[in-house]
Amino acid sequence: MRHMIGAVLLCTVALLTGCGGPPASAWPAGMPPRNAALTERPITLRVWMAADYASQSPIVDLVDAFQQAYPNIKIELSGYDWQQMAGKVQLAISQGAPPDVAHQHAFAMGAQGIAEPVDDLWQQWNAQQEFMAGAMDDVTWKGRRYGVPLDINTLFMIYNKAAFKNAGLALPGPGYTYAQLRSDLEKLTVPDQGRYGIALSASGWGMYGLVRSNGGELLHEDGDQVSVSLDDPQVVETLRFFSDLGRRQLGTLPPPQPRQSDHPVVLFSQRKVALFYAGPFDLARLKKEAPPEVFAEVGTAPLPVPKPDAPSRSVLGGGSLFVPKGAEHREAAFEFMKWAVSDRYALRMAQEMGRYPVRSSVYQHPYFRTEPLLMPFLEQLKAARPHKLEAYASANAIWSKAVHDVYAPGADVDVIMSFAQKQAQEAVRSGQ
Amino acid sequence: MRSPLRYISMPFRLAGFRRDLFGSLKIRLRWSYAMVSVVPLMLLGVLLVWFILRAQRQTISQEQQTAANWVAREIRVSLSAVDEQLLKLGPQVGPRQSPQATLQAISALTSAMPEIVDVAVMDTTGKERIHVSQVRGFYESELIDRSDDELVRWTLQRGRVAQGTVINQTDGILIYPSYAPILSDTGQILGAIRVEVRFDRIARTLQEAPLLQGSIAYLVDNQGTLQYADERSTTRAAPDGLASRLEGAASDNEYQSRNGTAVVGAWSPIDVQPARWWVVVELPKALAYASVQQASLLLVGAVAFVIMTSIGWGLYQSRSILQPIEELRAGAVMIGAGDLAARIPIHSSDEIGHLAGEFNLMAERLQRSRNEVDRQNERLREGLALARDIQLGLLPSAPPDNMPHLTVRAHSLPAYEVGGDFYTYIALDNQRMAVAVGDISGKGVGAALMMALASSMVEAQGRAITQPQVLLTDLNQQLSARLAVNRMNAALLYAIIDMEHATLCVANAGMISPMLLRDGQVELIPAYGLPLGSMPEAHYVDVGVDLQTGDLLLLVSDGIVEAHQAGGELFGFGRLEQILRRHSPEKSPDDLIAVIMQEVTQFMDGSEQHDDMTIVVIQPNLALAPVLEPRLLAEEMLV
Repeated sequence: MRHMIGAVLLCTVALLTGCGGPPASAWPAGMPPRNAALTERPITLRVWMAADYASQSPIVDLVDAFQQAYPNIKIELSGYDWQQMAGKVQLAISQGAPPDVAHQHAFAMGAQGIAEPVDDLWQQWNAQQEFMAGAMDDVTWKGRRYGVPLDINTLFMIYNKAAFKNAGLALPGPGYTYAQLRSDLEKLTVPDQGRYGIALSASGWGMYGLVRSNGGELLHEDGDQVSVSLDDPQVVETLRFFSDLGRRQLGTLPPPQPRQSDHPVVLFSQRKVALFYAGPFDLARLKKEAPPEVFAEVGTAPLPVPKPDAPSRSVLGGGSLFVPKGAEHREAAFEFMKWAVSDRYALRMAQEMGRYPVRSSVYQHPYFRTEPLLMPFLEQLKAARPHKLEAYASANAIWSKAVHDVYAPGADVDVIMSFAQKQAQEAVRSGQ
Repeated sequence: MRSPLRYISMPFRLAGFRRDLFGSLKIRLRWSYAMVSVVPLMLLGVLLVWFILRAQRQTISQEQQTAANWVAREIRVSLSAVDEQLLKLGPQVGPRQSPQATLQAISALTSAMPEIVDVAVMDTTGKERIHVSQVRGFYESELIDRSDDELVRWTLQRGRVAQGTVINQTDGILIYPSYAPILSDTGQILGAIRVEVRFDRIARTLQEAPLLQGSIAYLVDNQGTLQYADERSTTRAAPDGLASRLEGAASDNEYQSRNGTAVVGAWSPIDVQPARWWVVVELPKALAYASVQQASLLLVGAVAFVIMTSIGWGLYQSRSILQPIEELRAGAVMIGAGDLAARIPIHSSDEIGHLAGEFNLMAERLQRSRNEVDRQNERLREGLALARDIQLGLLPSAPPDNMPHLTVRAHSLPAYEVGGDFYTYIALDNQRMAVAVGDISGKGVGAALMMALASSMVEAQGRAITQPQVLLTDLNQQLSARLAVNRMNAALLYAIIDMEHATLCVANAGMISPMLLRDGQVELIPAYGLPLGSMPEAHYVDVGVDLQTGDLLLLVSDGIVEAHQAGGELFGFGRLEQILRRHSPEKSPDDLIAVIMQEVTQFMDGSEQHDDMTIVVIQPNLALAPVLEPRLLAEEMLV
């Protein structure tokens, strides 16, 4: 009886001592050390993440683990559409109730005055050298850091190996040119059977990647002087190329309003298209949603180039977490970001969500060395650059609209881009 | 003044109270039942009512709060939609935009949001650049400077959206002003927008809110000033003190509405800037708790019914337990009173039934046992009766008839069937008679047997030994051993009346000395000695008395003088002497015996006779007897 009472007392003591969070010995391995300053008072941390992140297990587990480590911090996690995130955050700031953490391209949010600079917190952390250069670009604007990069990606090509073989075509690979692409699409497209060569996309970010792969550029920065070049010949040529694919019905046109059923992943899973341009997240999605026999046919390749010997280039994607202006719990928010990019959750986000790490060291994991489908992605990542036009919301909106417009029936790409260039340049110049 | 002793007696009084309260099994049973059944049920009932009241109160509060939150959320969505549109409008109506583009953007906005009825675009100083109402655009000359508008200044300073108070326009249409900054791509404040928004949508939200029946919802600002009240509301103003409640100054949510009705309120904030709005939902308490009261009454009724049923069941159970016990007690009383034929009815096969069965078996065995004892007693009684007859037969039925000048009468009454007292007469010759009166110590059969022995030895020796002292000494020697064995002794008085010489010679071994009535006076003849068997070497002395005419001798056993009442008082020598003195010479010895027995019986007053009673009366009639020299004879006899 006395042993039992003793055991109960021990358990009680253990429970009581556990009330202040896990003891030092039980602190999760690989996580940033406990920040004592955050344990002093109750905190409610409002975290807004992209909807396709917020519901995923790694993020949910991350939130749980953070709350367990800091029992005084309660996290309210909400998911919002990626495209609407900036507007939502801007609205929340204007209404005097911004979230503590938000998810977008921090450099763009910093440029638009929505994000708080966090250089001081970076300095305390002293971990910048662990991050990939491209990832840091996503949080840096004019030399100031506005957040912590969460994941990184780039655009590459996903194609159906069987479709290429059945059409008697060689599989795309390094040095695959736009001319080959056009030629292959003609053979891959069988409209009578509802099969098309490519799923065309009107994503401004994606089109920028294609522009880059074709040797073009949208933004030119020379110190404080910024100019846009939407009417640059390579830009116009790229847009004309894809507009022409649409007009010639070699690919499925992007819908006026995004619909799940028209998403390239869905079309590819149904073998309605033979290829599309995508990020690694689409690979993860295909793995989950496509029939196994379709996924077995998946091949990946870098983006086409103008000439076989031209360098492979692409757009850098991903996202970062930032502290919106006026947020109440800046330090706690930054601590949460540090947890989010820890190796444990970075690896899980890569494996389960197709969202790839921003720290170089994580790529040493066997997962990244043994997956052949990832090789083009990893190769393309080296020459990828961020879509800096996003820092100029109005100019970026003009670019996005222009990308949509080129797929309109009878669209004159030259006129559209010429007009867009004027508007965008004025917007950049005036700060609007 | 009360005695301090009352404190000392308090515990005893409490003990008495407890005895009164719990002394009866019936009361104890009912108390027990009350403690284990009724009281817990009552407590349970009270707790249930309390819990239901509390739960219902919480439910009402939660439902009210949910409704308030819902309304607040809906209104927040409406306000946010306007805010969002205004923020989006900002870049389209910035200072770099042409008036035409600005007007187009405003037109697009009002088309998308018809509830916006007036739009004014201001520069960073608050001066209007563009102003368009629902009906027309304003000329440049009509544009005004809104820098004195506090909310315009607030918006321009902070770069945040703001909402003004609800305005009831002259045409009866409610509107509220909404403000938003015009921000550049880099977050710079380039101006402000002020729009007037019809309140219809928010009003509809308040009116169509899913409230509890009888509830009303209205909108107040941070100061508790009413912004809008539902048409169902009977009050058109916010209650006093509501503002402090909104800020959490009061812990409860029940208060008096403006019209004095007690209400249950709930409120939810809408974070508009710079003054917060609150949605207040109120429900009259009478309506809120009507169902609670009904439920409580129902529950109280149900609990009361259960308690009454429980009491009834308890009474029935206690009766079913107590009735057999009462019958058991009555049976025990009857059996205790001797009615061994009494039996207890058995009503059940439970423990009490078994007890009653065992009790009946015990009574049956007792009855059999008593019958056996009765039979034994009967046999014993018969034996004793026979012994009594034999003993009585041992006593002389009449004195010797050869001495007409000497009247001797005797009476012996044993305490039990047989006794230890005896008397006998021995006719020594025509003139002399010996009288012996004895008393064997103890009673009953043992004494009777010893009496028979002593009596027969007296009669045997009496004829041979003419001196009383010799006879007693001789008898003492013969009987001592036998008496000692039985731890007994025998008192014996032996007297020889010599009528010829008119003398009496007496020796006494432990009996009461003879009493002589002479000339109305009672003398005690001083003859003493130890009872036979007390001491083997005892010697006895003859005492001689010259008899005179009219003398009367009385010999009694100690059963007469030691007869006693219930209180323990003895009859004693005094009363006996008085009887003797009152005895008239004309009366016979039988009369004297009768008087003595009568008075002794009266004295005892029904008390049990503990010792044998023997009376011997000797009345010498000297007138008829040939008297010689009595003194000489007496002396001779003594020698």
